[in-house]
Amino acid sequence: MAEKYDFNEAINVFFIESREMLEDMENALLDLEKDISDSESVSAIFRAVHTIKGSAGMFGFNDVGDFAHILENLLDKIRSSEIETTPDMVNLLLECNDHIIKLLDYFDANREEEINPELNSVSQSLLNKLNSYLPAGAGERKKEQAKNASDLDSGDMQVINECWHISLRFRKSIFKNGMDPQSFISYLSQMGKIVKIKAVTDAIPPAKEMNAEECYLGFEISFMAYTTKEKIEEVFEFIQDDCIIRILPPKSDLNEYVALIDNLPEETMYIGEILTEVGSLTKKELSEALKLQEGLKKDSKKRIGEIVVDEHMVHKPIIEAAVNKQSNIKKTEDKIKKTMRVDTSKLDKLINLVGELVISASNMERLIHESGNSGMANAFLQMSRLIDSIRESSMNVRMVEIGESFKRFERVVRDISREKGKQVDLVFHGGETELDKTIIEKVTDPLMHLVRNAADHGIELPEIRAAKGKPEKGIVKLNAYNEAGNIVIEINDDGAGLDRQKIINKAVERGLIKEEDLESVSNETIDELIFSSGFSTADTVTGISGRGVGMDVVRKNIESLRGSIIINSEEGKGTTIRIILPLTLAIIDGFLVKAGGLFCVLPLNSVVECSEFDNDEDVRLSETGNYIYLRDEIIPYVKMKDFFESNNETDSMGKIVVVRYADRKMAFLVDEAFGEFQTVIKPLGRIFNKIEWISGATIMAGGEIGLILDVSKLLGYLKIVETRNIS
Amino acid sequence: MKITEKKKDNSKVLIEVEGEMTIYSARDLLTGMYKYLDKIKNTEVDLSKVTKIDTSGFQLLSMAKKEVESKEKTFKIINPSNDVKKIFKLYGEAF
Repeated sequence: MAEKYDFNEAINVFFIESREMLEDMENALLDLEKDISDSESVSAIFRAVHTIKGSAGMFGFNDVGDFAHILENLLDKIRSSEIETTPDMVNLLLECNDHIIKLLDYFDANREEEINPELNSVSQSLLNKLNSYLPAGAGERKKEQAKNASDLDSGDMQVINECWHISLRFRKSIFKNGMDPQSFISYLSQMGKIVKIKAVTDAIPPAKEMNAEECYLGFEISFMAYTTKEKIEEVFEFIQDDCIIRILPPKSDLNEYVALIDNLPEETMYIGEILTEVGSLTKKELSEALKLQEGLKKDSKKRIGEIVVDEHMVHKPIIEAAVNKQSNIKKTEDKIKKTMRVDTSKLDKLINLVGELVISASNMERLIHESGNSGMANAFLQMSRLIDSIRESSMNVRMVEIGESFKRFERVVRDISREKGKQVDLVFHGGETELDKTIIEKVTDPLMHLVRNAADHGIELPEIRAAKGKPEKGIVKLNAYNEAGNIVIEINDDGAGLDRQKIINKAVERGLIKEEDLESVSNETIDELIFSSGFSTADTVTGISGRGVGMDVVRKNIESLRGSIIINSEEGKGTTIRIILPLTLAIIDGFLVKAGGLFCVLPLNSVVECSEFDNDEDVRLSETGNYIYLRDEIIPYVKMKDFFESNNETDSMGKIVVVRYADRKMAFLVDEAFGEFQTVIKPLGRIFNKIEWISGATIMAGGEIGLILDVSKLLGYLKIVETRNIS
Repeated sequence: MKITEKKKDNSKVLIEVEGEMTIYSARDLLTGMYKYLDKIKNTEVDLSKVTKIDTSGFQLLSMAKKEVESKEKTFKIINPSNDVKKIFKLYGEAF
């Protein structure tokens, strides 16, 4: 059971990491396209393909492995400058990149299945194209291996096997030391898959000479796992003094096996048989190894000695294999170690707990203040500082720079430019802006769609642009920044802008607006129409956009994140779309007020000012009571108590809190204002789902409920109420 | 731990091992095996009543198999108990 689970986990990691590597590869390919002689990009691409090839093979996804192998061959030739890079080739490589993604998606969804014919035919046609760049025969994997295996001179002859090979020989004392190898082998089997294990019983003496309490056993194990040598060594850490262990990485140099065979106490032939039996060596490889061993013995005793010495250093990090291929794998493994994958549900739990901690700390603070114990208050002060740090760092764990996801849009823009014969530059700003990972993940697709739209529909063809007096090259700008406790992402293009006449025609045709209303419809309303479902103005359905699904889905996705989307277009000059998203879904820096006996939290960043409301020169009510004059400014005004329809009486005149969202301001009259208040958003039950302007609730130190208000939604809601009242 | 001889004829012997085949009984088990390994016949070992086995027990079985087979006789394990099956599976050995 556990064995299966862990192996699956390893496969999951394989898929995740392969996809990441393909993303890197795509970026490197785009770099290469810009500078065709960029050897660094070629190396990066090669590394990615190589690693995918190796690990795909390790997990038995041979269709992926074989495909990557041919690709690797070509890249190897490019890397060694045997073949010159051409733009067409880069294009083909990009296609191959996409194809590997498709293959991975397929095998991720259908783990045990055969490749489907459709994908296979794509593989074949791409392989044919790849092979056309390669010198005859070089692309064929099997031939090459056969050639390798018979080529005795080759120093870096690798075995075909993709498993780790582990040799264990226990010392006699192991039982006496209270250890049973059983538990370690069974632990190993949880780390990966023991493909084949063979007990080595050669050293067991005849019954009469045997001491039943001593161990004479050994094992040869063929082990499949996506892991490192250190990890495997760790398994046997407890018995490292009681056993001799040798680990050969997958696809080791045949020389390593020669050294292994040579160094094991058993007869060469006996151990050789076992190695073939567990599948670490093929029969052919074994006979090559034996020949190699003979040859080495005759020619250079010293050399084999060196290898043996190396072999004795069992706990040295991975064997420094002669082949740079292996060192490449190691490099990526090192990179992987710097980051750790954590299940997001674990993080959510942590953040939830930190939230509870913050709440109970504020409760405690109140009690301590009431007790008047200054020693305790001091101690608590220190603790609350720590709690603050904990809160901040645990929130930080979830925060990711948005720039990472911007990068993948480059490919989209490039493809559109090529397909449509356009010239488009994609420019990023504020890529370092941090946003909750969940939000980033959910916002990437809508953003992708918008970027695609901007390049496909927004930017005009170079001729048209030239005729309009614009530079031939269009610019799509992506800009991210913080504003009022929100993250704003802007997608701006300097293209044609929305064609309002076309939108109107379409809207009338679809019955979205009535012809007689056309006169009174504002430009903003027209622009908003593109967010209606099933609305698309593209004359022809292209492969890229214009399928009529899109903007409505984009808006829904954004709104599901408690965000909003605003479009701003100027004919002939371009379109700007602003997406406004909450920074995080969990904790809020708020401003605490009380109105009608209810605690409310306003997002601190939206609060512009707070002042006494005494109806004097500076702050006074308008004649109608709908506005206040704040110094020289006129601001819409709402009595929060009335808004909550509360009958709770207070004597004080109350305070005015002015909030701002985007360009709008609103003044609230509240009974009391307490100031800054940091709190955790607790989701409210489903009954409250429909009340948009409450984003959640929190528990106050005294146990009361505090409502957290969503200012953007609240202003929107008040506007609706207002218009309703007027009409 | 107990070794009982179940059946015996000129060419074949059936032995049953009962109880633990662990490091604590290994010495006795080995001593108990001597007489069968002195004059080797085709051997069957019934392990249905083995309650517990560890690597030392596994090693003794391996030794016995090796000895018997070196005399060109057959060595066979029948009715392995669950614990025995488990260690055979782990060590990739079926006997």
